[in-house]
Amino acid sequence: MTILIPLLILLPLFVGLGIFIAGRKGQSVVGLAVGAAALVFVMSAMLVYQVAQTPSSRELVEGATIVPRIEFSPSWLEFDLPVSIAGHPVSWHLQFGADGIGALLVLLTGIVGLVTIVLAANQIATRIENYVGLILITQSMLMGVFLSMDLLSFYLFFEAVLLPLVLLINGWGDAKDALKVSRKFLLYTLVGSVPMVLGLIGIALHSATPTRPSSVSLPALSAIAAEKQMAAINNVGGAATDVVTTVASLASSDQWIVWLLLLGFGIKLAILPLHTWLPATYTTSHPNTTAFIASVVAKLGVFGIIRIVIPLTPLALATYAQWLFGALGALAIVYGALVALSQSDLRKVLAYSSLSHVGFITLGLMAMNSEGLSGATIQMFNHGIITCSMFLLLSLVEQRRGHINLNHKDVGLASVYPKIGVLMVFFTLAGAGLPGLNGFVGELLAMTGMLRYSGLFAGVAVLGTVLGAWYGLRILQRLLFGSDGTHHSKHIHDTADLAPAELLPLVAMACICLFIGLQPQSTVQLIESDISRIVLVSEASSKAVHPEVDQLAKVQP
Amino acid sequence: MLSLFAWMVPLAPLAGCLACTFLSLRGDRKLAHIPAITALLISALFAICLIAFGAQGDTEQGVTYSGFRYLNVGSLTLDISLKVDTLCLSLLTVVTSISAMIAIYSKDYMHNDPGYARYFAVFCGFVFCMTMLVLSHNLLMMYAFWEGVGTCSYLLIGFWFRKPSAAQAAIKAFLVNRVADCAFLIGILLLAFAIGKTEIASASFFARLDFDIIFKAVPFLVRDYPELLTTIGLLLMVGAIGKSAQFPFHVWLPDAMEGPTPVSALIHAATMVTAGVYLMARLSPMLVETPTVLSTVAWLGGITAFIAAWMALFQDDLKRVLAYSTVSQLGYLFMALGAGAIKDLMAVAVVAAMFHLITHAFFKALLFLSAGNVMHAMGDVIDMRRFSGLNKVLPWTNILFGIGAAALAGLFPLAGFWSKDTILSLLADASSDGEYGTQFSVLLGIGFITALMTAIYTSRAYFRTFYGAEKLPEEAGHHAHEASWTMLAPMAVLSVGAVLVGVLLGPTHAIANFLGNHSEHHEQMWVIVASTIVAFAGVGIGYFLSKMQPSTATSGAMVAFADFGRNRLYIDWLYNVAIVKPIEWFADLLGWFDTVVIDGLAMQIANVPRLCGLLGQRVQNGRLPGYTYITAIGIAALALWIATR
Repeated sequence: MTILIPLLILLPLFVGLGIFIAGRKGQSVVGLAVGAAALVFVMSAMLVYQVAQTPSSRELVEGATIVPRIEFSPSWLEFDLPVSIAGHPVSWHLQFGADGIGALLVLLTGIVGLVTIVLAANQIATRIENYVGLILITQSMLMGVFLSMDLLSFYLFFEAVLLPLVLLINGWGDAKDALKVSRKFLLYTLVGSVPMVLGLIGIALHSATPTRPSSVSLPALSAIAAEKQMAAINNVGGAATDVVTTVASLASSDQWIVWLLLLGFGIKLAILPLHTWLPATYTTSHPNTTAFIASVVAKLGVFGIIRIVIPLTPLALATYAQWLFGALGALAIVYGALVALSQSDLRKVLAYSSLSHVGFITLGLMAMNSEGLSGATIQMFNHGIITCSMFLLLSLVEQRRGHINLNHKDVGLASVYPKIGVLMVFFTLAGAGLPGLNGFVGELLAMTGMLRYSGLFAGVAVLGTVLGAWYGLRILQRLLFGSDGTHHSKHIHDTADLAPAELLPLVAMACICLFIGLQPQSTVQLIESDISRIVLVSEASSKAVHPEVDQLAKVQP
Repeated sequence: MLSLFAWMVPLAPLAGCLACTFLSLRGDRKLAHIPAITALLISALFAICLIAFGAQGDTEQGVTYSGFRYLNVGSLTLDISLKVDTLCLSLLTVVTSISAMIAIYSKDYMHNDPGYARYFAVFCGFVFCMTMLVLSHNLLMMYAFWEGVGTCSYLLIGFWFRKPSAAQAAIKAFLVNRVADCAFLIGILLLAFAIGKTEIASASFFARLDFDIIFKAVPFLVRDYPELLTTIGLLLMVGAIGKSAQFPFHVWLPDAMEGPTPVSALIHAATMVTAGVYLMARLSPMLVETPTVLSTVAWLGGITAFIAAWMALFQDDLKRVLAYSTVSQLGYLFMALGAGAIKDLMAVAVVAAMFHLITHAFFKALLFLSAGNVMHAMGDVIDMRRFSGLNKVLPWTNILFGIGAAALAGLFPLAGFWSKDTILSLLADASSDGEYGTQFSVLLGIGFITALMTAIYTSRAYFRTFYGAEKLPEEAGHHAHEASWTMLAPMAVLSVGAVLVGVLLGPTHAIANFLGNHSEHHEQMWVIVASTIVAFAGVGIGYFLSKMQPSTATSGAMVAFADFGRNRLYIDWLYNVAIVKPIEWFADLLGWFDTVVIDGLAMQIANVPRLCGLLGQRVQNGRLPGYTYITAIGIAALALWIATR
């Protein structure tokens, strides 16, 4: 069933292109898009099922820390290049495959794509056929990123995501700022991608030795990286120098690669202070678009770190950037939450809250141990679901009420739209990390992991949850409660509560939140073996560089 | 068999919750009480069965009934299992039986409310979370349900969400609790981390937090990390005092009275707020090794007991008097637990705290429900300045409130008398200790003063409400009437409890034996006599004060005292000015910083290429003279360079 992999990438691409080019108006086209998205969703669910069923023990490349459980790498995707590096001819073999982490994000993309397309039918007033077409194309590109198993296709898809996105932001955003903001988005991400591509080239070049041709295949590269790193840490075959020196020399040889990659992924991740594209983009795009961007596209940076940076350059990451990015993640949690608290535009509140939540994911990643990485990965999925639902709800509210200004107190929408009210309370509580809902597990694991690395950052993160609850509940209090919803009535366009077609996707999202909250086991199991392999190198690096990690300071004699 | 019984206790309310949720989706206003009351009665029945059939030896040690595996990944295992021992059973019985009574009461109280089914759904959800909290075998699992009860409390405080004050109170309660819970969570994680460093280290991070493993690890922690253990104890304590509304986290509880009155009775008087005390009692084998924590607990309890009683003296809102009284009585419980700072007294302290917790649950629930009757009859007016002399209108409520008030004031031989005496004589014992003697002498004094104040405000509220000239607010209309029998019947049950629980459990040592403390503990005669005198004196003063007009203050000091009490000692104001406002101000500053400085800077950097282009543009002006000059300069420079080589 490896056919699923090309289908997942090509089906939305062709249907999307077809719809975009054919561009006839009318419901039939939207119906086609919904059908395609539903098919993609079913296939992504099948992919997850299949990955979960495949035993994780198989190793195609010995010692690899990235092991696809399903693979699609036909020989016609192999290209021989007319150049040679270190005396070897260069051959690029494009590979696709899915491990647990990738499969989880494929599923997220499938879910979010379907939901946003279904809701777009009522939300998007103009050029709906172009809109859904672009969403499908973006979906295809994202699938490509999550399923690629070599540096080349990873990079191609990673960059290709931008094109449809810029069109989406520009074409359906607020007319006033859309052009400016889409330019800002493009500039930021391009600034990120140039260093990134240099970093990727660096990785490929470093892999070449006199006895071994260079490689772009992620499993092969990860095996090489793991071998090098273990040799440095265990000081294999060199009594002349001590471990500290070998570790430091390996780390410094990868230093520039790590910085370039982190700059690239950090911009996508909206790491402070490179984040200002995020609020601008989220507030200017149509909330329906934002739901898609915030839930999946914003995960590209995180995915890049967990797929490329941590497995391929663990020692350099631990040496140079672990502390810094951990600090930035902790800072982002508090900073995002505080700025969210100061905003009066609901779109901005949600944008900054997204920033704050991504801080949690960063924190989990930078713990570099199994709790942290599992937490970060689960939280990627959870945050995708929650933030997508919140922006969709916002979109539905704005459709009825116009722009939401939180300076109006006691708007009391819950009386007018009880279904919106209940769902909003639900997703806010899920975002605040309530036990029994999905946010809890991810945040708990991320914090546990971070506690083992740095108690300070973990403490800051925990405090961030208070601020998170504060702005979340503030939205509820101002927007939903406090009156019977009759004043500020001049803005009312529509007093109808959610229609079944709007309610159903959101209720499905709520069920996912509940399911993961009650049964985190299922999700964790999917990614467990992949995480445990990465942890072999990442935790070893973290401990080699920071011997104080995992120790308790105050040992009494 | 017993495993099934144990699981039925939380699962019955869960089923009730699901049924009521379903009904609420259908917009029900008539039927929701049926599944709720049935479920809660079943739950109470099984809780009693657990006591009746559980073998004494087994339950004293604690039996764990396994449930399902929540997480099982590599080093992370977390089971949802139930630990049943006598400590847990004593609270479990109280929670389930009182919640069943209050659910019956709610049937008529919430009659025809648009959120009727929603009310019962959250109500059952709360009982589910609370019973799971009490039955937790693992500290992290306890934390999960700890948050769960907090959320139910949030939803119920804000139940009438159209009232701005209710929405405000709900958010305040949630956030204050959340701050405390943060400390709690850090404490939990640190504890798991620390246990991992001892010989006990079990493979899994979260499974180390099973209470049995924690207690096994305590000796090692005391040996290796005594300071860390104290820190952990303090962090866990912060969680406990947050939930139990102790100073400095007490501010949320009085505002929580915005919720429906039965909710105040159940959650904010009888059950949820005692979770902190329960946590402390649960962890007593660990805390006994950290006397610093317990003496802090005792101080905080003493301070809270006193200041809350002070504030209660000057409230005009009947429910708020009761709310501050709850805070004050919880302070008593913490004072009692704090006496465990003296190692030998720990077991007695736990018994005393649990005893007062149980009696308090009965009489305070009774008092709140009586206040609910008053509110019901007065058309939702609860301000004591606007009504008086209700004994004719509400004859039964008068009697029931009287019983509850007498129990709270500690009049012989009602429940409050016995349990309060246990605490006071415990403190008297503690004050003869060498190291902590002085501290507990002071606290004993506070205990007596608070007892006096309690008697005063209770009797004052009672006499103001039910005696004097009959006065009804206009909201009551012409049909101010006694509550229905479905409301009075559960109150009657509670009143029996308020009368008998004390004398049945205390002097017979039943509670002490049940909790496994078989050592003989003699109460000191002088404490009993003194506290009786104090209680009767307080009631007398309260009666006298109820006759006075509130404005007839005599001296300047008295005015200041009253003014502070009325304004909640300005603590809420201080928090607003010193914490909330600065954070909001800082948030605004950051918001400005983000848009103007960071984004502005980024945009300036984006302008750099354009500026460079502009610079070049100036030179490339297309005029021949300019180009000639530049060429000439170039040639000159080249010539100079060649010449100097």
